[in-house]
Amino acid sequence: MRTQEEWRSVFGVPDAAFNARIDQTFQKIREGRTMKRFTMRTGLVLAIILLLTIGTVCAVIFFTLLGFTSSLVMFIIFLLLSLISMAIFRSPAVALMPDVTVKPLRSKANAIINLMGTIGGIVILLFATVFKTSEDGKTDFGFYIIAVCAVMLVALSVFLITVKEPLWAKEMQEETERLGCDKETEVRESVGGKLTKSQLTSLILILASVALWYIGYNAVTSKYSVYASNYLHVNYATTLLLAQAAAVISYIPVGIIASKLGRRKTILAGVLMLFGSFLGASFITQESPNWLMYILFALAGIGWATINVNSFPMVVELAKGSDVGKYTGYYYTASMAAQIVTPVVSGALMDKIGYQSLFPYATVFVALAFLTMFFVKHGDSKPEAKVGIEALDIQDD
Amino acid sequence: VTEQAFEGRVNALRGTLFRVASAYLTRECDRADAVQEALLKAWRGLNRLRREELFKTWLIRILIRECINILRQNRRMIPAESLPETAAPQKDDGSAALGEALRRLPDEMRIVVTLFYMDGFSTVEIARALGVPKGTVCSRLARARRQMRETLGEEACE
Repeated sequence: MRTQEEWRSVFGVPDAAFNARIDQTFQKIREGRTMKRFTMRTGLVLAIILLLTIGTVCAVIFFTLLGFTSSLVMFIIFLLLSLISMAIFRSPAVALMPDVTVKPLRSKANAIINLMGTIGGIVILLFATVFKTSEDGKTDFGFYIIAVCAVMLVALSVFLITVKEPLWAKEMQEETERLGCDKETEVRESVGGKLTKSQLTSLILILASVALWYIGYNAVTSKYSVYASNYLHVNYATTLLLAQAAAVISYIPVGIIASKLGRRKTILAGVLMLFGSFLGASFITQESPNWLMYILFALAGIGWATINVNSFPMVVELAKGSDVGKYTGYYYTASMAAQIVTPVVSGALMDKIGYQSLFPYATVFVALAFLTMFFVKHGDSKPEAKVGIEALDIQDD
Repeated sequence: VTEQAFEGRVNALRGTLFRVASAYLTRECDRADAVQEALLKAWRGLNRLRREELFKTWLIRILIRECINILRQNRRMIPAESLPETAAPQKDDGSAALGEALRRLPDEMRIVVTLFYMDGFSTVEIARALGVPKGTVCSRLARARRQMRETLGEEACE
Protein backbone atom coordinates (compact mmCIF):
# COMPACT_ATOMS: atom_id res chain seq x y z
CA MET A 1 0.00 0.00 0.00
CA ARG A 2 1.59 3.23 -1.14
CA THR A 3 1.25 6.43 0.81
CA GLN A 4 -0.08 9.67 -0.66
CA GLU A 5 3.45 11.10 -0.55
CA GLU A 6 4.78 8.20 -2.60
CA TRP A 7 2.07 8.78 -5.17
CA ARG A 8 2.75 12.51 -5.21
CA SER A 9 6.46 11.99 -5.81
CA VAL A 10 5.58 10.79 -9.33
CA PHE A 11 4.91 14.31 -10.52
CA GLY A 12 7.07 16.06 -7.98
CA VAL A 13 6.26 19.54 -6.71
CA PRO A 14 5.04 22.53 -8.71
CA ASP A 15 7.97 23.72 -10.80
CA ALA A 16 9.21 27.30 -10.90
CA ALA A 17 7.60 28.05 -14.26
CA PHE A 18 4.26 26.81 -13.00
CA ASN A 19 4.39 28.87 -9.81
CA ALA A 20 5.60 31.92 -11.68
CA ARG A 21 2.66 31.69 -14.07
CA ILE A 22 0.17 31.47 -11.21
CA ASP A 23 1.71 34.56 -9.61
CA GLN A 24 1.66 36.33 -12.95
CA THR A 25 -2.03 35.43 -13.31
CA PHE A 26 -2.79 36.90 -9.89
CA GLN A 27 -0.98 40.04 -10.97
CA LYS A 28 -3.11 40.24 -14.12
CA ILE A 29 -6.27 39.77 -12.08
CA ARG A 30 -5.23 42.47 -9.62
CA GLU A 31 -4.55 44.88 -12.46
CA GLY A 32 -7.78 43.97 -14.21
CA ARG A 33 -5.89 42.92 -17.34
CA THR A 34 -7.79 39.71 -17.92
CA MET A 35 -8.25 39.53 -21.67
CA LYS A 36 -11.43 37.92 -22.80
CA ARG A 37 -13.15 37.48 -26.10
CA PHE A 38 -15.96 39.77 -25.09
CA THR A 39 -14.96 42.75 -23.00
CA MET A 40 -17.36 44.60 -20.75
CA ARG A 41 -18.45 46.94 -23.48
CA THR A 42 -18.95 44.11 -25.97
CA GLY A 43 -20.96 42.32 -23.32
CA LEU A 44 -22.99 45.45 -22.89
CA VAL A 45 -23.49 45.73 -26.63
CA LEU A 46 -24.61 42.11 -26.79
CA ALA A 47 -27.03 42.51 -23.92
CA ILE A 48 -28.38 45.66 -25.44
CA ILE A 49 -28.59 44.22 -28.93
CA LEU A 50 -30.64 41.37 -27.52
CA LEU A 51 -32.91 43.90 -25.89
CA LEU A 52 -32.78 45.79 -29.13
CA THR A 53 -34.82 43.18 -30.94
CA ILE A 54 -37.64 44.09 -28.60
CA GLY A 55 -36.51 47.74 -28.66
CA THR A 56 -36.65 47.80 -32.45
CA VAL A 57 -40.22 46.63 -32.46
CA CYS A 58 -40.97 49.35 -29.90
CA ALA A 59 -39.15 51.94 -32.02
CA VAL A 60 -41.13 50.97 -35.11
CA ILE A 61 -44.37 51.05 -33.16
CA PHE A 62 -43.55 54.45 -31.65
CA PHE A 63 -42.55 55.84 -35.03
CA THR A 64 -45.82 54.56 -36.41
CA LEU A 65 -47.77 56.10 -33.58
CA LEU A 66 -46.02 59.41 -34.27
CA GLY A 67 -47.80 59.53 -37.58
CA PHE A 68 -51.22 59.06 -36.05
CA THR A 69 -51.14 61.19 -32.93
CA SER A 70 -52.67 64.62 -32.88
CA SER A 71 -51.66 65.43 -29.31
CA LEU A 72 -48.44 67.40 -28.82
CA VAL A 73 -47.70 65.66 -25.50
CA MET A 74 -48.14 62.20 -27.00
CA PHE A 75 -46.04 63.23 -29.98
CA ILE A 76 -43.19 64.25 -27.68
CA ILE A 77 -43.51 61.06 -25.64
CA PHE A 78 -43.48 58.80 -28.73
CA LEU A 79 -40.58 60.71 -30.23
CA LEU A 80 -38.65 60.39 -26.99
CA LEU A 81 -39.35 56.66 -26.74
CA SER A 82 -38.35 56.10 -30.37
CA LEU A 83 -35.08 57.93 -29.90
CA ILE A 84 -34.35 56.12 -26.63
CA SER A 85 -34.94 52.77 -28.34
CA MET A 86 -32.44 53.74 -31.02
CA ALA A 87 -29.91 55.18 -28.59
CA ILE A 88 -29.91 52.04 -26.44
CA PHE A 89 -28.04 50.06 -29.06
CA ARG A 90 -26.42 52.73 -31.14
CA SER A 91 -24.15 54.37 -28.55
CA PRO A 92 -22.35 51.24 -27.32
CA ALA A 93 -22.14 49.80 -30.82
CA VAL A 94 -20.58 52.98 -32.17
CA ALA A 95 -18.27 53.18 -29.14
CA LEU A 96 -16.63 49.95 -30.31
CA MET A 97 -15.12 51.75 -33.29
CA PRO A 98 -12.57 53.89 -31.40
CA ASP A 99 -11.65 50.80 -29.36
CA VAL A 100 -10.40 49.00 -32.43
CA THR A 101 -9.31 51.85 -34.74
CA VAL A 102 -6.08 53.81 -34.55
CA LYS A 103 -6.71 57.50 -34.02
CA PRO A 104 -5.69 58.80 -37.47
CA LEU A 105 -8.13 56.42 -39.14
CA ARG A 106 -11.16 57.18 -36.99
CA SER A 107 -12.65 59.75 -39.35
CA LYS A 108 -12.52 57.22 -42.17
CA ALA A 109 -13.98 54.55 -39.90
CA ASN A 110 -16.74 56.90 -38.82
CA ALA A 111 -17.40 57.61 -42.50
CA ILE A 112 -18.06 53.90 -42.97
CA ILE A 113 -20.36 53.87 -39.93
CA ASN A 114 -22.33 56.79 -41.37
CA LEU A 115 -22.42 55.14 -44.76
CA MET A 116 -23.78 51.95 -43.24
CA GLY A 117 -26.33 54.00 -41.30
CA THR A 118 -27.48 55.61 -44.51
CA ILE A 119 -27.66 52.23 -46.24
CA GLY A 120 -29.78 51.08 -43.29
CA GLY A 121 -32.03 54.07 -43.87
CA ILE A 122 -32.37 53.17 -47.54
CA VAL A 123 -33.25 49.56 -46.61
CA ILE A 124 -35.99 50.90 -44.35
CA LEU A 125 -37.29 53.10 -47.17
CA LEU A 126 -37.33 50.05 -49.43
CA PHE A 127 -39.25 48.08 -46.81
CA ALA A 128 -41.76 50.90 -46.60
CA THR A 129 -42.20 50.71 -50.38
CA VAL A 130 -42.37 46.92 -50.48
CA PHE A 131 -44.91 46.68 -47.68
CA LYS A 132 -47.08 49.48 -49.00
CA THR A 133 -50.26 47.55 -49.41
CA SER A 134 -53.00 49.96 -50.24
CA GLU A 135 -53.65 52.74 -52.70
CA ASP A 136 -53.52 55.44 -50.05
CA GLY A 137 -49.92 54.44 -49.32
CA LYS A 138 -50.51 52.83 -45.93
CA THR A 139 -47.97 50.29 -44.87
CA ASP A 140 -48.55 46.74 -43.66
CA PHE A 141 -46.78 47.17 -40.34
CA GLY A 142 -47.00 43.51 -39.36
CA PHE A 143 -44.65 42.39 -42.14
CA TYR A 144 -42.70 45.62 -41.86
CA ILE A 145 -41.87 44.97 -38.19
CA ILE A 146 -41.01 41.33 -38.91
CA ALA A 147 -38.69 42.41 -41.74
CA VAL A 148 -36.97 44.99 -39.55
CA CYS A 149 -36.53 42.46 -36.74
CA ALA A 150 -35.10 39.95 -39.22
CA VAL A 151 -32.54 42.51 -40.38
CA MET A 152 -31.63 43.21 -36.76
CA LEU A 153 -31.13 39.51 -36.03
CA VAL A 154 -28.92 39.14 -39.10
CA ALA A 155 -26.91 42.15 -37.93
CA LEU A 156 -26.61 40.61 -34.47
CA SER A 157 -25.40 37.31 -35.94
CA VAL A 158 -22.83 39.06 -38.12
CA PHE A 159 -21.68 40.98 -35.04
CA LEU A 160 -21.34 37.84 -32.94
CA ILE A 161 -19.50 35.90 -35.62
CA THR A 162 -17.15 38.55 -36.88
CA VAL A 163 -16.38 40.99 -34.07
CA LYS A 164 -13.40 39.94 -31.98
CA GLU A 165 -13.01 43.09 -29.96
CA PRO A 166 -10.14 42.17 -27.60
CA LEU A 167 -8.05 40.84 -30.48
CA TRP A 168 -8.71 43.89 -32.63
CA ALA A 169 -8.17 46.22 -29.68
CA LYS A 170 -4.82 44.54 -29.00
CA GLU A 171 -3.83 44.89 -32.64
CA MET A 172 -4.89 48.53 -32.52
CA GLN A 173 -2.70 49.17 -29.47
CA GLU A 174 0.26 47.49 -31.13
CA GLU A 175 -0.32 49.50 -34.29
CA THR A 176 -0.68 52.69 -32.26
CA GLU A 177 2.65 52.05 -30.58
CA ARG A 178 4.28 51.11 -33.89
CA LEU A 179 3.06 54.27 -35.61
CA GLY A 180 3.66 56.43 -32.56
CA CYS A 181 0.09 57.76 -32.80
CA ASP A 182 -0.18 57.83 -29.04
CA LYS A 183 2.38 60.62 -28.86
CA GLU A 184 -0.10 62.99 -30.43
CA THR A 185 -3.07 62.07 -28.33
CA GLU A 186 -4.95 64.60 -26.32
CA VAL A 187 -4.80 62.39 -23.27
CA ARG A 188 -1.10 63.01 -22.91
CA GLU A 189 -1.83 66.64 -22.26
CA SER A 190 -4.35 65.95 -19.57
CA VAL A 191 -3.54 66.02 -15.90
CA GLY A 192 -3.99 62.82 -13.94
CA GLY A 193 -6.27 61.34 -16.59
CA LYS A 194 -8.69 64.27 -16.30
CA LEU A 195 -9.29 66.81 -19.00
CA THR A 196 -7.47 70.09 -18.69
CA LYS A 197 -9.58 73.24 -18.51
CA SER A 198 -8.85 73.96 -22.15
CA GLN A 199 -9.79 70.41 -23.20
CA LEU A 200 -13.00 70.58 -21.18
CA THR A 201 -13.92 73.86 -22.87
CA SER A 202 -13.28 72.27 -26.26
CA LEU A 203 -15.40 69.25 -25.35
CA ILE A 204 -18.30 71.50 -24.29
CA LEU A 205 -17.92 73.56 -27.47
CA ILE A 206 -17.89 70.45 -29.68
CA LEU A 207 -20.98 69.08 -27.94
CA ALA A 208 -22.68 72.47 -28.27
CA SER A 209 -21.80 72.49 -31.98
CA VAL A 210 -23.22 68.98 -32.37
CA ALA A 211 -26.47 70.03 -30.72
CA LEU A 212 -26.68 73.25 -32.77
CA TRP A 213 -26.11 71.73 -36.20
CA TYR A 214 -28.51 68.91 -35.39
CA ILE A 215 -31.11 71.50 -34.42
CA GLY A 216 -30.63 73.20 -37.78
CA TYR A 217 -30.34 70.14 -40.02
CA ASN A 218 -32.98 68.01 -38.35
CA ALA A 219 -35.51 70.86 -38.47
CA VAL A 220 -35.13 70.95 -42.24
CA THR A 221 -35.21 67.18 -42.80
CA SER A 222 -38.17 66.65 -40.51
CA LYS A 223 -40.21 69.60 -41.73
CA TYR A 224 -39.23 69.91 -45.37
CA SER A 225 -42.03 67.63 -46.57
CA VAL A 226 -44.60 69.94 -44.95
CA TYR A 227 -42.72 73.02 -46.15
CA ALA A 228 -42.45 71.79 -49.75
CA SER A 229 -46.06 70.64 -49.94
CA ASN A 230 -47.68 73.67 -48.29
CA TYR A 231 -45.34 76.56 -49.04
CA LEU A 232 -43.45 75.75 -52.22
CA HIS A 233 -46.13 73.41 -53.59
CA VAL A 234 -43.54 71.07 -55.04
CA ASN A 235 -42.63 67.43 -54.55
CA TYR A 236 -40.26 66.97 -51.63
CA ALA A 237 -39.12 63.36 -52.04
CA THR A 238 -36.57 64.00 -54.82
CA THR A 239 -35.00 66.90 -52.94
CA LEU A 240 -34.55 64.93 -49.71
CA LEU A 241 -33.28 61.94 -51.65
CA LEU A 242 -30.73 64.16 -53.37
CA ALA A 243 -29.41 65.39 -50.05
CA GLN A 244 -29.09 61.80 -48.87
CA ALA A 245 -27.44 60.64 -52.08
CA ALA A 246 -24.95 63.52 -51.92
CA ALA A 247 -24.16 62.57 -48.32
CA VAL A 248 -23.65 58.90 -49.24
CA ILE A 249 -21.24 59.80 -52.03
CA SER A 250 -19.32 62.19 -49.78
CA TYR A 251 -18.81 60.09 -46.65
CA ILE A 252 -15.66 58.26 -47.74
CA PRO A 253 -13.93 61.17 -49.56
CA VAL A 254 -14.72 63.45 -46.63
CA GLY A 255 -13.11 60.97 -44.22
CA ILE A 256 -9.99 60.94 -46.38
CA ILE A 257 -9.92 64.74 -46.68
CA ALA A 258 -10.30 65.10 -42.90
CA SER A 259 -7.29 62.88 -42.24
CA LYS A 260 -5.24 65.18 -44.49
CA LEU A 261 -6.61 68.58 -43.48
CA GLY A 262 -7.62 67.95 -39.89
CA ARG A 263 -11.09 67.41 -38.51
CA ARG A 264 -11.81 70.92 -37.26
CA LYS A 265 -11.08 72.64 -40.56
CA THR A 266 -13.08 70.03 -42.48
CA ILE A 267 -16.03 70.43 -40.14
CA LEU A 268 -15.90 74.23 -40.42
CA ALA A 269 -15.99 73.87 -44.21
CA GLY A 270 -18.97 71.52 -43.88
CA VAL A 271 -20.80 73.92 -41.57
CA LEU A 272 -20.21 76.73 -44.07
CA MET A 273 -21.70 74.58 -46.85
CA LEU A 274 -24.71 73.79 -44.70
CA PHE A 275 -25.06 77.45 -43.74
CA GLY A 276 -24.81 78.55 -47.38
CA SER A 277 -27.37 76.06 -48.60
CA PHE A 278 -29.89 76.85 -45.85
CA LEU A 279 -29.38 80.58 -46.30
CA GLY A 280 -29.91 80.19 -50.04
CA ALA A 281 -32.99 78.02 -49.48
CA SER A 282 -34.48 80.79 -47.30
CA PHE A 283 -34.88 82.86 -50.48
CA ILE A 284 -36.39 80.12 -52.64
CA THR A 285 -39.98 80.75 -53.54
CA GLN A 286 -42.62 79.04 -55.63
CA GLU A 287 -41.32 80.86 -58.68
CA SER A 288 -37.76 79.63 -58.25
CA PRO A 289 -36.65 76.82 -60.55
CA ASN A 290 -36.65 73.34 -59.00
CA TRP A 291 -33.01 72.63 -59.84
CA LEU A 292 -31.93 75.46 -57.57
CA MET A 293 -33.33 73.68 -54.54
CA TYR A 294 -31.80 70.42 -55.77
CA ILE A 295 -28.35 72.00 -55.87
CA LEU A 296 -28.80 73.56 -52.43
CA PHE A 297 -29.91 70.27 -50.92
CA ALA A 298 -27.08 68.36 -52.56
CA LEU A 299 -24.70 70.94 -51.06
CA ALA A 300 -26.40 70.53 -47.68
CA GLY A 301 -25.98 66.74 -47.97
CA ILE A 302 -22.26 67.08 -48.63
CA GLY A 303 -21.92 69.59 -45.80
CA TRP A 304 -23.81 67.28 -43.46
CA ALA A 305 -21.61 64.31 -44.37
CA THR A 306 -18.52 66.45 -43.75
CA ILE A 307 -19.76 67.43 -40.30
CA ASN A 308 -21.12 64.07 -39.30
CA VAL A 309 -18.09 61.99 -40.23
CA ASN A 310 -15.72 64.12 -38.19
CA SER A 311 -17.64 65.25 -35.15
CA PHE A 312 -17.85 61.90 -33.33
CA PRO A 313 -14.11 61.18 -33.72
CA MET A 314 -13.40 64.66 -32.32
CA VAL A 315 -15.37 63.87 -29.19
CA VAL A 316 -13.74 60.48 -28.61
CA GLU A 317 -10.30 61.92 -29.40
CA LEU A 318 -10.61 63.67 -26.04
CA ALA A 319 -11.46 60.45 -24.24
CA LYS A 320 -8.93 58.08 -22.79
CA GLY A 321 -9.44 54.39 -23.63
CA SER A 322 -11.75 53.46 -20.79
CA ASP A 323 -13.89 56.59 -21.27
CA VAL A 324 -14.81 56.08 -24.91
CA GLY A 325 -18.23 54.72 -24.02
CA LYS A 326 -18.94 57.69 -21.76
CA TYR A 327 -17.89 60.21 -24.39
CA THR A 328 -19.95 58.41 -27.01
CA GLY A 329 -22.84 58.86 -24.61
CA TYR A 330 -22.13 62.61 -24.40
CA TYR A 331 -22.13 62.82 -28.18
CA TYR A 332 -25.45 61.04 -28.52
CA THR A 333 -27.00 62.99 -25.66
CA ALA A 334 -26.19 66.22 -27.50
CA SER A 335 -27.42 65.00 -30.88
CA MET A 336 -30.51 63.24 -29.57
CA ALA A 337 -31.52 66.12 -27.33
CA ALA A 338 -31.37 68.37 -30.38
CA GLN A 339 -33.45 65.93 -32.39
CA ILE A 340 -36.07 65.82 -29.67
CA VAL A 341 -36.30 69.58 -29.30
CA THR A 342 -36.01 70.81 -32.86
CA PRO A 343 -39.05 69.24 -34.55
CA VAL A 344 -41.21 70.68 -31.80
CA VAL A 345 -39.65 74.16 -31.80
CA SER A 346 -39.42 74.48 -35.58
CA GLY A 347 -42.98 73.16 -35.91
CA ALA A 348 -44.24 75.68 -33.37
CA LEU A 349 -42.44 78.49 -35.21
CA MET A 350 -43.94 77.42 -38.51
CA ASP A 351 -47.39 77.50 -36.90
CA LYS A 352 -46.90 80.89 -35.26
CA ILE A 353 -44.82 82.80 -37.81
CA GLY A 354 -45.35 80.87 -40.99
CA TYR A 355 -43.69 78.23 -43.15
CA GLN A 356 -41.04 80.68 -44.31
CA SER A 357 -39.47 80.60 -40.82
CA LEU A 358 -38.02 77.09 -41.39
CA PHE A 359 -34.83 77.86 -43.31
CA PRO A 360 -33.92 81.07 -41.41
CA TYR A 361 -34.36 79.05 -38.18
CA ALA A 362 -32.01 76.35 -39.48
CA THR A 363 -29.56 78.96 -40.82
CA VAL A 364 -29.28 80.70 -37.44
CA PHE A 365 -28.50 77.48 -35.57
CA VAL A 366 -25.97 76.35 -38.16
CA ALA A 367 -24.30 79.77 -37.92
CA LEU A 368 -24.13 79.39 -34.15
CA ALA A 369 -22.58 75.94 -34.64
CA PHE A 370 -19.88 77.54 -36.80
CA LEU A 371 -19.11 79.98 -34.00
CA THR A 372 -18.85 77.32 -31.30
CA MET A 373 -16.78 75.07 -33.55
CA PHE A 374 -14.47 77.93 -34.46
CA PHE A 375 -13.25 78.20 -30.87
CA VAL A 376 -12.53 74.49 -30.45
CA LYS A 377 -8.85 73.88 -29.79
CA HIS A 378 -8.65 70.13 -29.11
CA GLY A 379 -9.87 66.89 -30.57
CA ASP A 380 -8.29 67.26 -33.95
CA SER A 381 -6.56 64.39 -35.73
CA LYS A 382 -3.81 66.59 -37.04
CA PRO A 383 -0.59 65.63 -35.28
CA GLU A 384 1.48 68.21 -33.52
CA ALA A 385 4.78 69.14 -35.09
CA LYS A 386 7.54 66.84 -34.06
CA VAL A 387 10.83 68.19 -32.88
CA GLY A 388 14.41 67.00 -33.23
CA ILE A 389 15.14 63.69 -34.86
CA GLU A 390 11.49 62.60 -34.63
CA ALA A 391 10.69 65.29 -37.19
CA LEU A 392 12.42 63.08 -39.75
CA ASP A 393 9.92 60.26 -39.19
CA ILE A 394 7.56 59.49 -42.01
CA GLN A 395 4.08 60.35 -40.79
CA ASP A 396 1.57 57.69 -41.70
CA ASP A 397 -1.55 59.17 -43.16
CA VAL B 1 -15.17 36.88 -3.69
CA THR B 2 -12.29 39.31 -3.45
CA GLU B 3 -9.00 38.97 -5.32
CA GLN B 4 -7.29 38.11 -2.04
CA ALA B 5 -9.79 35.37 -1.21
CA PHE B 6 -9.44 33.94 -4.70
CA GLU B 7 -5.67 33.97 -4.41
CA GLY B 8 -5.86 32.28 -1.01
CA ARG B 9 -7.99 29.46 -2.33
CA VAL B 10 -5.86 28.96 -5.41
CA ASN B 11 -2.65 29.00 -3.39
CA ALA B 12 -4.01 26.20 -1.22
CA LEU B 13 -4.60 24.20 -4.40
CA ARG B 14 -1.28 24.85 -6.16
CA GLY B 15 -0.09 21.28 -5.69
CA THR B 16 -3.36 19.79 -6.88
CA LEU B 17 -3.47 22.07 -9.92
CA PHE B 18 0.08 21.10 -10.79
CA ARG B 19 -0.65 17.40 -10.52
CA VAL B 20 -3.84 17.62 -12.56
CA ALA B 21 -1.98 19.54 -15.28
CA SER B 22 0.88 17.03 -15.08
CA ALA B 23 -1.54 14.15 -15.48
CA TYR B 24 -2.41 15.49 -18.93
CA LEU B 25 0.52 17.56 -20.08
CA THR B 26 4.20 16.76 -20.09
CA ARG B 27 5.67 20.09 -21.13
CA GLU B 28 6.27 22.72 -18.45
CA CYS B 29 5.07 25.53 -20.69
CA ASP B 30 1.82 23.71 -21.49
CA ARG B 31 1.08 23.12 -17.83
CA ALA B 32 1.72 26.77 -17.06
CA ASP B 33 -0.47 27.86 -19.99
CA ALA B 34 -3.29 25.57 -18.92
CA VAL B 35 -3.29 26.73 -15.32
CA GLN B 36 -3.11 30.38 -16.32
CA GLU B 37 -6.03 30.09 -18.71
CA ALA B 38 -8.01 28.07 -16.16
CA LEU B 39 -7.42 30.63 -13.41
CA LEU B 40 -8.42 33.52 -15.66
CA LYS B 41 -11.57 31.71 -16.70
CA ALA B 42 -12.37 30.83 -13.11
CA TRP B 43 -11.88 34.45 -12.01
CA ARG B 44 -14.14 35.77 -14.75
CA GLY B 45 -16.75 33.12 -14.12
CA LEU B 46 -16.77 33.27 -10.32
CA ASN B 47 -20.25 34.76 -10.28
CA ARG B 48 -21.53 31.59 -11.95
CA LEU B 49 -20.31 29.42 -9.08
CA ARG B 50 -23.41 28.91 -6.97
CA ARG B 51 -21.95 26.86 -4.10
CA GLU B 52 -18.72 28.04 -2.57
CA GLU B 53 -17.85 24.58 -1.25
CA LEU B 54 -17.62 23.30 -4.82
CA PHE B 55 -14.84 25.75 -5.73
CA LYS B 56 -12.16 23.05 -5.71
CA THR B 57 -13.91 20.61 -8.05
CA TRP B 58 -15.17 23.48 -10.21
CA LEU B 59 -11.65 24.84 -10.70
CA ILE B 60 -10.26 21.37 -11.39
CA ARG B 61 -12.95 20.87 -14.00
CA ILE B 62 -12.00 24.10 -15.74
CA LEU B 63 -8.34 23.11 -15.64
CA ILE B 64 -9.04 19.68 -17.08
CA ARG B 65 -10.92 21.32 -19.95
CA GLU B 66 -7.97 23.61 -20.62
CA CYS B 67 -5.53 20.69 -20.52
CA ILE B 68 -7.64 18.79 -23.03
CA ASN B 69 -7.78 21.89 -25.27
CA ILE B 70 -4.00 22.16 -25.21
CA LEU B 71 -3.64 18.44 -25.90
CA ARG B 72 -5.92 18.82 -28.92
CA GLN B 73 -3.95 21.80 -30.18
CA ASN B 74 -0.66 19.98 -29.69
CA ARG B 75 -1.93 16.94 -31.54
CA ARG B 76 -2.83 19.18 -34.44
CA MET B 77 0.39 21.14 -34.37
CA ILE B 78 3.22 18.82 -33.31
CA PRO B 79 4.18 15.65 -35.16
CA ALA B 80 4.22 12.66 -32.81
CA GLU B 81 7.96 11.99 -33.27
CA SER B 82 8.87 15.45 -32.04
CA LEU B 83 6.88 15.23 -28.80
CA PRO B 84 9.07 16.42 -25.96
CA GLU B 85 10.39 14.40 -23.13
CA THR B 86 8.22 13.44 -20.18
CA ALA B 87 8.76 15.07 -16.82
CA ALA B 88 11.52 13.46 -14.81
CA PRO B 89 10.55 12.00 -11.46
CA GLN B 90 12.06 13.62 -8.41
CA LYS B 91 13.61 10.53 -6.82
CA ASP B 92 14.38 7.07 -8.04
CA ASP B 93 12.87 5.24 -5.07
CA GLY B 94 10.30 3.27 -7.03
CA SER B 95 8.39 6.33 -8.07
CA ALA B 96 9.95 6.07 -11.55
CA ALA B 97 8.22 2.74 -12.15
CA LEU B 98 5.02 4.06 -10.65
CA GLY B 99 5.27 7.15 -12.82
CA GLU B 100 5.84 5.06 -15.94
CA ALA B 101 2.85 2.87 -15.10
CA LEU B 102 0.76 5.97 -14.56
CA ARG B 103 1.87 7.51 -17.83
CA ARG B 104 0.91 4.36 -19.71
CA LEU B 105 -2.68 4.79 -18.58
CA PRO B 106 -5.15 6.48 -20.90
CA ASP B 107 -5.83 10.14 -20.00
CA GLU B 108 -9.25 9.49 -18.50
CA MET B 109 -7.84 6.86 -16.13
CA ARG B 110 -4.70 8.80 -15.26
CA ILE B 111 -6.64 11.80 -14.02
CA VAL B 112 -8.85 9.59 -11.84
CA VAL B 113 -5.82 7.95 -10.24
CA THR B 114 -4.10 11.31 -9.80
CA LEU B 115 -7.04 12.91 -8.02
CA PHE B 116 -7.85 9.82 -5.96
CA TYR B 117 -4.41 8.74 -4.78
CA MET B 118 -2.41 11.95 -4.91
CA ASP B 119 -4.95 14.50 -3.78
CA GLY B 120 -7.35 12.40 -1.76
CA PHE B 121 -10.45 13.31 -3.76
CA SER B 122 -13.46 11.13 -3.09
CA THR B 123 -15.08 9.34 -6.03
CA VAL B 124 -18.01 11.76 -5.75
CA GLU B 125 -15.69 14.76 -6.01
CA ILE B 126 -13.87 13.23 -8.96
CA ALA B 127 -17.20 12.53 -10.65
CA ARG B 128 -18.17 16.17 -10.13
CA ALA B 129 -14.84 17.46 -11.43
CA LEU B 130 -14.94 15.25 -14.51
CA GLY B 131 -18.64 15.64 -15.12
CA VAL B 132 -19.21 11.86 -15.24
CA PRO B 133 -21.28 9.50 -13.04
CA LYS B 134 -19.72 8.13 -9.86
CA GLY B 135 -19.96 4.59 -11.24
CA THR B 136 -17.79 5.58 -14.19
CA VAL B 137 -15.16 6.94 -11.82
CA CYS B 138 -15.19 3.69 -9.82
CA SER B 139 -14.88 1.52 -12.91
CA ARG B 140 -12.06 3.69 -14.33
CA LEU B 141 -10.29 3.47 -11.01
CA ALA B 142 -10.63 -0.31 -10.91
CA ARG B 143 -9.40 -0.69 -14.50
CA ALA B 144 -6.53 1.69 -13.84
CA ARG B 145 -5.48 -0.29 -10.76
CA ARG B 146 -5.58 -3.52 -12.74
CA GLN B 147 -3.59 -2.06 -15.61
CA MET B 148 -1.01 -0.51 -13.32
CA ARG B 149 -0.65 -3.71 -11.39
CA GLU B 150 0.02 -5.53 -14.65
CA THR B 151 2.55 -2.92 -15.76
CA LEU B 152 4.35 -2.89 -12.46
CA GLY B 153 4.26 -6.68 -12.29
CA GLU B 154 5.75 -6.94 -15.77
CA GLU B 155 8.49 -4.51 -14.91
CA ALA B 156 9.19 -6.31 -11.66
CA CYS B 157 9.74 -9.52 -13.67
CA GLU B 158 12.15 -7.87 -16.11
